[in-house]
Amino acid sequence: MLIQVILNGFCLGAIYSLVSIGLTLIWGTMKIINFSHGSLMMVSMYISFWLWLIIDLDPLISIFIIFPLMYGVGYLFQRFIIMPILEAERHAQLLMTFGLMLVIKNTVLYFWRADYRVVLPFYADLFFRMGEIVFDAPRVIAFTAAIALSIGLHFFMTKTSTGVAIRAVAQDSEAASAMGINVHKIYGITCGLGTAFAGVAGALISTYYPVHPDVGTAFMFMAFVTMVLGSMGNYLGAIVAGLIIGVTEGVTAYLLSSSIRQAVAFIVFVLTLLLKPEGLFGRVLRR
Amino acid sequence: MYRKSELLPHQIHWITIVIFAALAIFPCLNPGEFLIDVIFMLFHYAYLALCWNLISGFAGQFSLGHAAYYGVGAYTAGVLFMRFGLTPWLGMLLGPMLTAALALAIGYPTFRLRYHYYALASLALAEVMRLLFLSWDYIGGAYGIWYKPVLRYSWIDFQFTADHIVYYYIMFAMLCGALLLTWKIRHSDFGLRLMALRDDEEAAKSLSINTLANKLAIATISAGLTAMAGVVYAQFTLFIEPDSTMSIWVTMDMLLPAMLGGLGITYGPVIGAFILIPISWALRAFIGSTLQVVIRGIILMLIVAFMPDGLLQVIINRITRPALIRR
Amino acid sequence: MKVDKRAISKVVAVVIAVIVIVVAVSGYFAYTTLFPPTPKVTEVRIGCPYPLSGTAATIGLDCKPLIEWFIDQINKEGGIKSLGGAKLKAIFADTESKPEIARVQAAKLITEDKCVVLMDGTLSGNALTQAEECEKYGVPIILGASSSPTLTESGFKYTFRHWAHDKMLARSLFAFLKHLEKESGKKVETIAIVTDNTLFGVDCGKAYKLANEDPEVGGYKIVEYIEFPIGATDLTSEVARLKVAKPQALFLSVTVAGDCILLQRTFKKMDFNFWALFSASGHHMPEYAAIGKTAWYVYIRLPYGPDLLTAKPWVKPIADKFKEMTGREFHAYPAAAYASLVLIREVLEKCGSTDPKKIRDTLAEIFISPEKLPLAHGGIKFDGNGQNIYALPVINQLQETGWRTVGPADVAVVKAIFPQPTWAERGD
Repeated sequence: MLIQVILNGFCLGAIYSLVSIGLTLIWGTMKIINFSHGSLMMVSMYISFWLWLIIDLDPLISIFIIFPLMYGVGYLFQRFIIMPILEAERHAQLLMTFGLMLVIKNTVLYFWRADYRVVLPFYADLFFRMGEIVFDAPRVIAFTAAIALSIGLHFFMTKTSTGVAIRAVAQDSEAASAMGINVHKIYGITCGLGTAFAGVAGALISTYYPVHPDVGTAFMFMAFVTMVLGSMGNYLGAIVAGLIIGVTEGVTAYLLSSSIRQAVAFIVFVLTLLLKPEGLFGRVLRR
Repeated sequence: MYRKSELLPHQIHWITIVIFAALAIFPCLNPGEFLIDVIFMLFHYAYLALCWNLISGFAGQFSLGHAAYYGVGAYTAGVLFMRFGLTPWLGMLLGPMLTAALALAIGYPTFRLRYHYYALASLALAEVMRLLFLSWDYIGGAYGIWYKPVLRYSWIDFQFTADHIVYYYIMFAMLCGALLLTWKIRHSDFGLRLMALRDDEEAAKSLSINTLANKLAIATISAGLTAMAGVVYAQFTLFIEPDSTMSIWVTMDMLLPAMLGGLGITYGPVIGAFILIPISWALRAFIGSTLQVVIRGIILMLIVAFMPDGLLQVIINRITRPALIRR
Repeated sequence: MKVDKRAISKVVAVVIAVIVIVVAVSGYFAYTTLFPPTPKVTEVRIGCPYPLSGTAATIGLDCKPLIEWFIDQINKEGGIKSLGGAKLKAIFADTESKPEIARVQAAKLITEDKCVVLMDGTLSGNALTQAEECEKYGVPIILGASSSPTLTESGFKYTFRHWAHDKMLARSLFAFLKHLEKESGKKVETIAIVTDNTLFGVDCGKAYKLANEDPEVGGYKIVEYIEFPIGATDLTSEVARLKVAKPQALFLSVTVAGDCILLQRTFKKMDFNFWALFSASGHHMPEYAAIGKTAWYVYIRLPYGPDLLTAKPWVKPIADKFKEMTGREFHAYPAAAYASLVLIREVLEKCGSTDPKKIRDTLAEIFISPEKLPLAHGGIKFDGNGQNIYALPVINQLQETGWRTVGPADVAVVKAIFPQPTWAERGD
């Protein structure tokens, strides 16, 4: 049973990674904590649901729609929400995205109510069993997709000029600008990419998790923990940390008690901030 | 930045005195309990915003986890009364003591964290406390604390269900007290040191200001005062549960008036509350609560975009023209 | 730094302050003159402090259109005859699922909107604060679905609940399990209790434990007690624990449908088999049944089930109207709201007065016969604490043909399927 729990933790963690990649990229380049990240993911879950309900489009296929759509949303988000506050007071930056989260979540609540929507793809009840261990198709697919996207991201970041530019800006935006990189365009791309990843995560989750306006909050909190553990700004760290947090949460609930499963993640969060704020993969943080 | 708050014209004191005098005699007009309740909540949130402002506005430690102190205060009163049969007034003493200790314990390791990190850490700690309180059976867990209602007028039991006017005046007194305290701190050496370390911690240290000690001092004051408001909440609602007292939304309710009115300015949170609370109740009546939250989110975004230092700061800038270079 | 001379002078400041106060005060008096708080004599106001936002919003949003529609019907039929055809008016106030707001709204409904009776049917925490306000002002409140026992054990004189409370309901589930054992000849030794960490969840968990301690209906071995956080991202670990503990029956109280769905699907995935799952709530929401075969065979103890439509065909048009208005299947909560309104109407007719005290006294005495209620109650008659002694929880099981009434024995329409088929037996 423990093995089952651990393996399931990996699947859960992969989703946390996917969500936190966006967070960590946005922080890495713009030094903004995006509180609305979770609610954007929630919106893409709804989009996935509506597409499935109305035109019978499987969520995995809808990823091809959601990725560019959320990329666009992210780009606009950067342009209209983040850009004005890039140079603003730090408290302004914190609260702007928080306000946006309130707006998105409650607008969704107002129009689409608090009912739980369930997507039931044809593979929802497809299971792979190996002795005592069982995997359900939606989670396996989600895990695989998350890993694949992470690998793809790594290639993008290291082999393409845009990716390298993003890393350059994350490291030192002034120097990057001096080298001729259009920093603002990179900001837009990063935001788009990060939001697109959250969107994909949402589509993947919707195959096995009921959709509801509050869904974003739970995943987002975990994504924050993951981001900090994996070193803020470090997308590879986010991937690893996500898996760690997913397994930790699952094992805690199994061995100790379900009621503290979330508390443990937060305690890890605080301890990381206090003891090793650079995270596990200690990058030197910009001031 | 908000350093310019010392230029608030002293006329504002007169305006405040007149308005407060009016509010003091308002209940005598017999306006009905609903209005008393709404204004009570107005005072309540103005007070909370002031407390929050002490640490976040004056000391620059942007706390997103202040609800933890609020909840501890509320629970102190509840546990004292329901478990030990003691008067909740004791909670007004014990609550601040507990939260002061808590603030010290939390502040000591976290105050050296830089801005965003501190905000996240304080948020996480408040969530941890909320989750722990949810599982803590001794104080009720998710069930919370249900007061055996006294349903009359009892000073010893700190319950005035029969007549909410007493709550009104208690909160009013607390608000005046907090306002005075804030003003005193603001115009004291202590306040100067705080604002110095807020604006530039390194420079403050070089002036041999013990930044940690000062931050801890204001944190304990802020936490203690917040706990007292928690006690009043407990005695007003007569029902305490972790989600209504310790969640991030409670902290949001505390900080929104301060942000609107003016961070780091004495009167800021009060003005913010006086604008925000009536608007939110009016909105509730006309467009329903969900949309009301949407509007509040939009207001927050607008404030942050156009007047991140708050309304009062904008007014001050207008009145007292530079010499000062506007940002 | 000197203040600029163009700053407002002291005189102007005082003038501004005085103007603000005069405007505020005159505004208040204008408001109370133009909108006099006293209702017209031909109107009886019913306060409905339901949650229309927040965690319990779904219930409030479901009940509101039904309440408004039914009141409309009553008014079309001539209103309250004994009051000379007085019309009913429902005044809603959003409690936002928060206890302090619930208190303030209840007070507002009484003092500002001059409601003479209140009705509610949701979160027990909110109901408590509302009940206290009603007790203070002497206005009766009728509770439809707030099931915490404390509400009728606190000595309130103005609180009346026609729904059963958790202890009764837990007991009924245990009693039903005993009945199932007898019928099938299969003995249950081990049980597990699974709740979420909400007030309702924890309360029901306690009620289950209490019922288990009663030798008449309980006496099982509790092999696992899980309290999981509401809205958890994953429940595999919890189900793994259950699987290891091997309970034969599960007692659940999960507030939200999303967690019910997640849990059930995780059961299927982990091939966790047991004989019966008894639920306090959550599973009856339409979204749960929508997931298909996986959802089947759970039992729920609610006073409404679709089989009631066969027993009481007059409810069918109401159920259809509800579906038309909200797009959702009629369920227990709006049915409870409807029952509350039936009660209010009868009481007003009998009482012939809008004095809350007289209404309260009539409530304490009245008996409503079961045919008038869209619920399975054996009628409505309140005991000294305001609890309906005829609150009969019916046990429904979700079978292939939908939610069917399987117990108690005298009202069962079909036989319960016990033990439930294993996941392998159910096929895909």
